[in-house]
Amino acid sequence: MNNKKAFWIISIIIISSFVFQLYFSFQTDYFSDEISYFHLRQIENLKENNFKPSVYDGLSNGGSDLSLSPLFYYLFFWVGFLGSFKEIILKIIFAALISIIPLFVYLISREISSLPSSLFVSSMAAFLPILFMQSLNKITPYALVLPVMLYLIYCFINANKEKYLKQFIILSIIISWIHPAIMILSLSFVIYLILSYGESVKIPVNKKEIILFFVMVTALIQIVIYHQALSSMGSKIIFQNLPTSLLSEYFRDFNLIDLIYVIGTLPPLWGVLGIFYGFKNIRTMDKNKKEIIILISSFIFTALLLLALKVIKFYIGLVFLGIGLIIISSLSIDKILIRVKNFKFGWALKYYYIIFVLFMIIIVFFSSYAVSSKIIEKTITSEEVFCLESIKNDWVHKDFSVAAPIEEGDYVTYFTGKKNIIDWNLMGVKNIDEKYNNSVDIYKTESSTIALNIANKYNVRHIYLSDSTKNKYNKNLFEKNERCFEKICENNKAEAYRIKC
Amino acid sequence: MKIIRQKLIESNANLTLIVFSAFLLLYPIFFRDKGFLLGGITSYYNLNNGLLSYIASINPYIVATYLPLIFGIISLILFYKILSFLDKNIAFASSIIIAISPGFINLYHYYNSYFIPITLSLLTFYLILKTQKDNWIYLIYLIAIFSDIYLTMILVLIATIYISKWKTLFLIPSIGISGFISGLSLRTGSFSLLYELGTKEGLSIFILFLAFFGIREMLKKKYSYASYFLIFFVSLVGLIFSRDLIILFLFIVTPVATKGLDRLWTHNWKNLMIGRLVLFISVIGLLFSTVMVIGNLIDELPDDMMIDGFMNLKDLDDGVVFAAPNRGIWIKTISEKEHYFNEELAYTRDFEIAKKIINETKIKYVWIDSYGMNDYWYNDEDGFMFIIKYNQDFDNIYNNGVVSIWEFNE
Repeated sequence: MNNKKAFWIISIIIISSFVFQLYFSFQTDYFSDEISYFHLRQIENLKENNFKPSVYDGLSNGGSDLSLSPLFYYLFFWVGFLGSFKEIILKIIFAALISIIPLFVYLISREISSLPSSLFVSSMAAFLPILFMQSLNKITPYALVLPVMLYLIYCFINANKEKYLKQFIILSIIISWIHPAIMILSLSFVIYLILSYGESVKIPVNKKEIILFFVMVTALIQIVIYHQALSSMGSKIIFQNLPTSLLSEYFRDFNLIDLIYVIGTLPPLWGVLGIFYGFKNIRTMDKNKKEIIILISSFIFTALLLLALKVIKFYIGLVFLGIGLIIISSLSIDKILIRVKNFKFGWALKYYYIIFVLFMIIIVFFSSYAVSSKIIEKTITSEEVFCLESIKNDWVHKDFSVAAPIEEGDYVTYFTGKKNIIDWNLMGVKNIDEKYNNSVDIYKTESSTIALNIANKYNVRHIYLSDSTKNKYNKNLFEKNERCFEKICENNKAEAYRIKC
Repeated sequence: MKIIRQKLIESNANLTLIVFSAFLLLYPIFFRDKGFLLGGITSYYNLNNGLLSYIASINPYIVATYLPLIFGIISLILFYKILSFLDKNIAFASSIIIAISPGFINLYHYYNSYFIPITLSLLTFYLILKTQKDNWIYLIYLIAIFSDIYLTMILVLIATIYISKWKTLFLIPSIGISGFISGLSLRTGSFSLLYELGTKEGLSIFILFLAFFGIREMLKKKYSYASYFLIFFVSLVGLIFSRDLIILFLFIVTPVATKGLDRLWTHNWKNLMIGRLVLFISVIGLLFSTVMVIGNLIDELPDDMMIDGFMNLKDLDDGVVFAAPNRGIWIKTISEKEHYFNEELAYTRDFEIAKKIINETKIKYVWIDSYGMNDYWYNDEDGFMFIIKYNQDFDNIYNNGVVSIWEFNE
């Protein structure tokens, strides 16, 4: 297979991933998670604040400080001028960013394996279920961080060339201002040094210098951005001030079944085999390949370590782990292809390859399809937005807060323009456990007095009750007490109440 | 001629360090833009407790503001002199690095229980080095008057290790003591070493970065630095035992960090651009924590509005003041009133419960300021705030927009 052919194949992979995402994204007018609306609000706020970064959000958590990497919002500030088109444009941009990941997976794996294997793993990366789970139809900084991180690895591998070194320096400074997840790569580089030392692989001095620069620049920029949150929360910043009862849900124990469910069977299996083959033959490999295998293994090891120590959000950790495993699995695919070539029926390689690809398409594509359908199914609906807008238009109590569970806090703030009790912007929020428990108790309690006490405490005058909240707590106290809770909206997806007592 | 030149260089270095440290330590005092020069809680606490309160009794606020500053300048000069004996090449740079470190600035900004012991211990080491007489070690015991047992113990140990020049006789008890300390530390838990992670007296992460390279460099001549490594180890273990020892650790780590910076400076960089960037980041990293600490000291409470409130409270008739716990020391020192806090009272909306506690504890005034309000109440109708707002037994006798004082009149 020549390079021209490879170019066309990789283009088809990228385009099909892009089309696949847009197919799902355009099935709804809305974004598929509440945090997207938090990001959208910050982008829109930039325009309103004359492009000054916000340090305080008067609506989030009833008013709380913001500790955010500003560049992510500045990159999209122009979207604020697009009016009703902004959602469409953002959906296209974020789908495009995710679609580019297979290209970088291809470029890196091409350094350690043959062309067919690299194309094969890039197609696996294009339809990685966990990737869609975290990014499909969402505004997320990870859509920027992931491709850039992979390209940084590629630049690092080729850092002997001046062009890539310059790109590495510039990109590492830029990406550090976008999201703290870049620290994962920083940690991977440190583990890479340790693993190389353990394997007696001598890392060139220039690469050690680049690692030193990278570790220092990412640390400095994160300290500059998050100095306030760091000094008030210390090392607990890793847990992002999550309420204690949610910690176990977001920083879960790592287990194999979860891994297979969201990454698929093939990447972990081939990935582990790839690491095994890589390290088994490390002494006989050429120096450059050795370094790359150790580097990718370090990336995988870092993700595993963070997951095992429960210091990274479970699904985010799996995205990094999945991508790392997919890249290294090109080694085991190479091995399989060589074995097949040496079979008595080596001539059947072409057919074997076609069957192999078809098999992969069936498995990976359909599991991604299932995950994506589920995401779109769970996306906020126009009925829910209608109830939120009825709260917005309820002029009686304009400046008060709206009660909603933490999962819907950002929807409330975006669509009603009013304060919420709690949302995911938790850094710097005081008494978080109490706040979270109160936001749950207002729905769980059977006593109107308790609900009204909580409402008074947070200046709540509206209650938003979505179908999912109703199902979760299986109670609707507000319906029973019409004297204190007046229904201002009702449809088959949500309800909204005004507090009268 | 050479001696004169040497003397000139030395006096220039001394002068530079005096001016530089005076500038850094005076800056937060003069730019506080507040009626009172003292910020934070530590200084006020020591004006009320222990030996330091006697020392400051002549003129509490002036002594508490300027005495640490004078000791800071002296200790920086002593630190420079000590390093000049040990390793002349890094003496000046080390002194500059320590002067800009948050731990140093915090140590000599507050009227705390460590600035005298640390300066005394530096003086001891200086005298030992200058006179070559080990008897000066007994001076360290003076520290016990001003400080806690851990600091004294560790300092004695460090001095012993230094004097012993790495003799086996001293090595065994040193290791024994360190082992004992580490064993105890398992029960005390850990804390952050870093200023960036919220430890006020902590080290800047960039000092640790640089120290890593310094230690690598020193390991090449590990036998020459054996005493140093033992001192480093003992103070590191001691840190887990008493978090306040981090102040001492700063003086031990900084010379190593300077060695690290020197290593990066003289390194034959394969890529010059990366080399320059790494040095630039190191310097910016060190300076960032300096800017942060000075900014924090300037913005520290109490501010003008609070001081005005405390002064008004002082003029009122005697009575117990109900206020958030971290306001207590200011109420006691500035307003000269008794302070009381009770969580049950803070959170109750029931007047009967509140009245019972108020009568039992003889609370006469309630102090509320907008900075601390959110620590206990979500809004002005939450908990005890509801009672104050709606019960006619409480009169708002003072309000300046930030502070409100309420009087209880049954």
